Amino acid sequence: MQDEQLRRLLQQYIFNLEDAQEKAEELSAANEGLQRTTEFFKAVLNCTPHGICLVKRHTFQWCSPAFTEILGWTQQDLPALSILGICSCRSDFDEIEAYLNSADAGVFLHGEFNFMHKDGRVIACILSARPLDTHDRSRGHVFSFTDFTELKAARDICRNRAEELQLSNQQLNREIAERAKAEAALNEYKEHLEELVAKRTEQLNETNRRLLQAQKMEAVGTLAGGIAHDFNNLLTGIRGYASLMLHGMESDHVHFDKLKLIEEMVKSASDLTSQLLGFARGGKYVLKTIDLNELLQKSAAMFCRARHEITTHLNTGKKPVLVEADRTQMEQVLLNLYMNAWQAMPRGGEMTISCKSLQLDETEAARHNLAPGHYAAMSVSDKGVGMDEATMRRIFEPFFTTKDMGRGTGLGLASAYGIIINHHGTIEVESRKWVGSTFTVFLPISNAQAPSIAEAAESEVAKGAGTILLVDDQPMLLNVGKELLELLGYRAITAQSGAKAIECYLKERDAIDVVILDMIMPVLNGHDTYLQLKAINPKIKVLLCSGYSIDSHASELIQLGCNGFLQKPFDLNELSKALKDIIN
Amino acid sequence: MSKKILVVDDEEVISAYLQKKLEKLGYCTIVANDGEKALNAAINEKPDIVLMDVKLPRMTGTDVCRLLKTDPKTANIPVILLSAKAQPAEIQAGLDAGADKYLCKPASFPEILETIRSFESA
Repeated sequence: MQDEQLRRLLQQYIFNLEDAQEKAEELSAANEGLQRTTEFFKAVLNCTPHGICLVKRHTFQWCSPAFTEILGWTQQDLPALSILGICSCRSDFDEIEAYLNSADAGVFLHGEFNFMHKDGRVIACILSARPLDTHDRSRGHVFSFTDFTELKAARDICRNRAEELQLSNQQLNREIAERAKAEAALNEYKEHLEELVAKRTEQLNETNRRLLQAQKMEAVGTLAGGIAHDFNNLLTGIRGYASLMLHGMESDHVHFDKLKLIEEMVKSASDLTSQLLGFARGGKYVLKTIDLNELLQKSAAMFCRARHEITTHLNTGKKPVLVEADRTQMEQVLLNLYMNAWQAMPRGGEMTISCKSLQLDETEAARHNLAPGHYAAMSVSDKGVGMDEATMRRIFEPFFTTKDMGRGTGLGLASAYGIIINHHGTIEVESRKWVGSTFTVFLPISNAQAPSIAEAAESEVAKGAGTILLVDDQPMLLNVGKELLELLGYRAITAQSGAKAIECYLKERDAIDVVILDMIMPVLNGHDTYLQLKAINPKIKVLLCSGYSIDSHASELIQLGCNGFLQKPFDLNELSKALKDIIN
Repeated sequence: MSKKILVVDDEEVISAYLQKKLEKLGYCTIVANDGEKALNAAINEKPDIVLMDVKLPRMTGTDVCRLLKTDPKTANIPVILLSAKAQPAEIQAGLDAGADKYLCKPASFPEILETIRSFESA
């Protein structure tokens, strides 16, 4: 029994021993594994560039060599070092503190933070932190610091580059879009190239034709002006003498009717020269602000009273269309246009008159041979016989007429053309044979205020008193002028040249009330004579007189203080009125 | 398929140690702490090997062995008796009851394992 008991105890002992031995072996193996793991982690910590730290209750407990490399703090510094103490800004401090104080097991920390290096520099780091034990955060936290300074600089460069790239990409896209657009336009342009060339050639031909026409018109205008001037001088003599002979003549006198006829014929001749002068380029007129609507209404009404077979439609707005123009000349233009319409409709018909203001852009203006700007466009349309292309091209030439010999002078439209060109405008015609024609006049719009309309009353011959110095290079005109002046009650002194006029004026300056000064004279012309007279007496009263219309010289003298302008040929009435206006 | 071993001993220190060691080696074990339970377990569970003490409450290991060996359903199950009874007559009685091997205590686990493995390969 004893042996049995002993064996039983021994058996237990052996098994216990075996168990203990096995546990010891297991422990030893585990210990060896642990040691290997420790060595592995140590190697990892030593070779990783991330600084690893253990932080407990805000204070560093342990740090890896990389931490010292990044932030300079060594293991010896740690006991006095708080993670919050090395934060370089308030927001980082707050975020880390919030993490450390959080009780939530799932709260980790990861982001960019700035820390103080031991030497005072600020180091940008990528920081990661997590609790050592998520169930017990009081055991501390593992912090990983990664030096981000260089990466951050690189990242900033990358960001800038990316932004630049994006911008240039956008620019490139825009350029591509523009290029595509341009290419599309180019393709379209290419497709229509032939058409465009043809069109452009046509335009060029048209411009060329217009230029030649304009040059021709200008040459003819100069010629017409010269003829009109000489003619007006002659007419002044004839008219003057007729006036002198008629003055005081009884109506039953044997020559009374003949003289009246001479006066009427001179009047017709004067109308003719006035048309010629209208056409002549270079002449200026008495420019005033006029309302074309008002002018059209009045002139159309007057014309219709005389031509009942014409029905007139007037399309004018209520708003005034203002231009700077010579009213008489404009009336002449309109009358010529109305006459033309009337003659195009021998059996009567409809005439449409319209007026509007419009803005011409560069392209539109070029089409009309005008400078871009704001223009008045007034047109006169008829439903008459119309005209063909060849006629249209020559319609504004002086003495060009489609009418039978003796029915028209061929000066109406030429005169209208000259006047309008002279007013910096243009006149155009559109026509279709047997359909009708439309004449359109473009004139620059005036910015002035609407004018008040005062009709000049027909005045009686007004006698006057005083001394008049009459200056003209034509002896015949001096004679007739002297007699007319004396008939009007004035004392007349004559001078046949500018030099003689000055000499005369120096002698009798106190006696002379008014100087009637011809513009066109040899050697010292009216312009220069006036300047010298004005130098002698700045308050001198001078009435300019010319067979031309007021030209740029005359306009300048009026500006300088000249007192008036008398258009040759003049009669007794016109002379007396002009003098009265100056003397009064 | 792991072998099923019926471990029978009334001393828990022994049975627990054997069970731990055998299971560690991949065996499947059934533990019984008296003779009756051992017999029932052998009949019901059909273990591959029975490792059994001799001195057991209710029924001795020798009796359990004899009953197993007489029942054709269990007669082929190798029975190793592990006993502190080391007298030749006691050993003989065990072998007579049909035990395939009689191991005397104290035996080391490697020795026991060797015996078990000898029946496995058979």
